[in-house]
Amino acid sequence: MSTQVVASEVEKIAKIIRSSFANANSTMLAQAYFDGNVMDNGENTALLEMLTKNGLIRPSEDDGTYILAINLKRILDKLLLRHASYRKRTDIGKVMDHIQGDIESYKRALLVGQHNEVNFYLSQIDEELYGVVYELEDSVSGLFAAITSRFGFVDTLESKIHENEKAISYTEGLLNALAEINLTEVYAWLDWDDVPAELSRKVTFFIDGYRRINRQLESAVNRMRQLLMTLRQQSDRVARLKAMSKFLKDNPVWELDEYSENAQVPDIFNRINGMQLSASIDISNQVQQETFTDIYQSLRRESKPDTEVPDLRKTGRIDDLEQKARQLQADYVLSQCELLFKQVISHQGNNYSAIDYWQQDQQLSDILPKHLWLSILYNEYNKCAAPVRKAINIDFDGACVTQLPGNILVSGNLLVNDIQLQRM
Amino acid sequence: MFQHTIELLLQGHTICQVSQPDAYRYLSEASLLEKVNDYLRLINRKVKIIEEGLAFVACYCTIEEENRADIRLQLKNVRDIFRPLVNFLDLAMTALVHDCAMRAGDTIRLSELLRGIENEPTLKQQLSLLTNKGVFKTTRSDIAEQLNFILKKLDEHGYVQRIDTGSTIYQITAKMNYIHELIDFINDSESLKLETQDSPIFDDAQSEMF
Repeated sequence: MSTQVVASEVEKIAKIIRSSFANANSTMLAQAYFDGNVMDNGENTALLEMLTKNGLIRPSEDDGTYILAINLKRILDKLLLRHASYRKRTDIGKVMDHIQGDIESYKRALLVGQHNEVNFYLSQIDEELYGVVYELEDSVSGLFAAITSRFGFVDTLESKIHENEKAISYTEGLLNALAEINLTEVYAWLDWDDVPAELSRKVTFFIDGYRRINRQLESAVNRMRQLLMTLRQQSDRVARLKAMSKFLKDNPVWELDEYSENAQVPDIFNRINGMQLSASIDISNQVQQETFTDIYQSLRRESKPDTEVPDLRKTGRIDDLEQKARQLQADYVLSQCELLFKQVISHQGNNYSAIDYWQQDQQLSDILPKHLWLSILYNEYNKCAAPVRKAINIDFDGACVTQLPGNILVSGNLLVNDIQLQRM
Repeated sequence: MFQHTIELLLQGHTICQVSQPDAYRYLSEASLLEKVNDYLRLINRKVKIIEEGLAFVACYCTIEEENRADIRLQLKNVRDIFRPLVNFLDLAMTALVHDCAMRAGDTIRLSELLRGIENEPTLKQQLSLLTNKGVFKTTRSDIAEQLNFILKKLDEHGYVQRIDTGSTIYQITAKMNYIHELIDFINDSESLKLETQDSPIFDDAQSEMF
């Protein structure tokens, strides 16, 4: 294969890795691994498509969800299962003895000037010290990953409990192993005249590593404690749910007591039931009035196309007929508003009651209840040109401010029985 | 966000990561939670924090005679759904061969439930009983339709949330945890002695480590 072809292939792979394992994608892949799938919520569609194209995920049998490609899952399983190979060098006591022996040999070789032996023993010491720290750190981080994922590589609660048990057992072993490292003895390795700096650096690296591992292990134990609590709670909940279900089946008439009547209501029932929240329009507020009129008019405009649609002879659809009937009713109500305004304007001094008008018109009172009639009439009044509004005096009979917002009528919290209209 | 969060709380919503992610994030900020509480206290209400911040709900600062009717209504709603919901969760766990309690954030798929139930006469019968009365009562006889109906009802009551319009995948909200809390409460207050599962993880030797 030519150098150019190889370079192009390398770049191609690098591009896939860059695009596939960017920050947001890696979170999504991790979620898919631990949850078993990842859902298309509309916002992540493009990412999902890209990951599918790169062969890292594939659509599952359920609509809108994606699962990890089997090869990627295997790799992650393998990486997470590092904890399975915990026990590499937990016989620390023997290793420490070896290091002690090597340091003595190194010291002796140094004193007699055997340079080859000096280099040999130094590399032996380096390998042992580095090896101990590396393997301990590796197994602690494997343990940490397993705990952090809540043992995500197994599905059932039973398996998770078993894995937690194994992790606890291993941690115990690790703590015992670490207890075999006596830092005073380690410092004693450097307790002789003219210690070479290179040996000193290696031993200091080991001491730093040992302290770091202790801190990590402490953190792992804390996490395991939390996980243990969670698993215990999960386990109890499952058992209690099943037992409760059985109890309910065995006792078909059992019901929760009326705890709300207790002098002291148990805290678990202290929750609000939920209020119906609704806002009202203050008709004395000019700004709100105008906004409301705008909304009303825009709604009327939206309904206009419906009137143009039906060619009943062509479609013959019953819903078209109903639509038409509703429109005719709406038109009738609006025409009655106009007629009433016309009467008011035509007869100066006469007082007109909107309710009387509604009661006298059988068709009108059949179409809509009185509060809607008053509401529509009032809104139509507001839509009239300014000179018309000026000419008609409008008065609300029996008006009072109600404490129940949106209770009735025109809007707002104004409760009225009638609308009186009179030409000024 | 302040107004929206207050409205959700006053409407009785259980605010969690699944049901109301924006309001949940808002209330998770200690200073903003305090601001909401300052407002609610003026009307004898406050935010109750569920399971160390898993969810937030509104409750009364003090229960007095005038809000007892509201508590009664809330209890009635719980009473209506408790029995059918416990039986449904048991049925679902059996059908899904699931030994973990269904918790906030877990998903329920209609297709998986259907697969687990349709070939099991006992489970089919349990489902039929469940849809025969109470809040899950329906005249539908098809299993998929019955399950769909139950999940929609649970969605209406806020125990699950549909992932997307038209989807048959639902996510469990923190309100479901309330049912588990309630089981614990009933178990203690009525001394039912519902058995707890024994597990080797909880033996004394292992627990001593901590």
